[in-house]
Amino acid sequence: MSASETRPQKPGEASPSSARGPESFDKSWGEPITMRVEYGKVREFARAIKDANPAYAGDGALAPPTFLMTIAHWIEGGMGGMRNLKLDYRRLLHGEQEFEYLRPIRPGDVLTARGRTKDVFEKDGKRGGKMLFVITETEFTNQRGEVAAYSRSTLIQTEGAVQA
Amino acid sequence: MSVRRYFQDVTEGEELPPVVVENLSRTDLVRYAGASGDFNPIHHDEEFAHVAGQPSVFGHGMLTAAFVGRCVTDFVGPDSLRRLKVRFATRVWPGDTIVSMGKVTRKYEADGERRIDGEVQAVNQKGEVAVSGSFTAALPSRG
Repeated sequence: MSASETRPQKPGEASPSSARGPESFDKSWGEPITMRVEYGKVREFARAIKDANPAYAGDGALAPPTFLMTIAHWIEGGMGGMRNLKLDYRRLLHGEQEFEYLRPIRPGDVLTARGRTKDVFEKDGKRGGKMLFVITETEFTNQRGEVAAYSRSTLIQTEGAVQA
Repeated sequence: MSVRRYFQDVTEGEELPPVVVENLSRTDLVRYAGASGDFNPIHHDEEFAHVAGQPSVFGHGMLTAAFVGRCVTDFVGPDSLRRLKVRFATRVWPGDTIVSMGKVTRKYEADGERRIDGEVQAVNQKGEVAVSGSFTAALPSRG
């Protein structure tokens, strides 16, 4: 299948009440993890995304908008996100990603991140078969207790093998 | 790069200057894997990619999303971004040239801020959309 043919209309806006599929899933927040924002990591990330913006360097540097993906370095065996969901990672696509920014994130910040499954629902694929949509949400709170950002991912499990 | 842009300077329909990344390399993918911590082998292990039925390794969707993010932050400034949302469509392959572009769709006030919404997309050298999305930014006001 091609992702462009099967992508959801607005999965981020689907309400739990409209969800079909998996009888029940755990919507509660998982155990938080601590993520320290390091200057070297910010520099490495900015270079990797080919962004030479001076805002990501020097004193008072900011973290680039998609830097929160580096939470992967701080997670052992997945966080909160998809508890009790048996997902087949060979058939899993990252369909959408959204970030909401409430406070700047800078080196030296100590973020507390907690994740949850926000919604799970099924849709019919255009080429037959069911597609399972899982929306996870991660909340990042800084050392001052302020929510700094939210990250929301839409994962799509296809019925068959994922093809280009 | 980061020219301070004021709310009054922006018009609905205005296009964001495109950001071009030429000839994406496997090294670029490895560098992003290390920086992000996303070591899904489909993005760096050619043999794994072949076994998975892919012609080669392909790019992390979030790397392309970062190019789109740069297109937005070059325009509004990194500290002005309030929301960025991307949807992944066509995959990005080694050798691809990715052009990120966008436009302002709406100017308004909300939560005591002067904000703009916009659309963004990243296309490959064949014109296929790799990533599409939207953003919201809060801009400073002149006077």
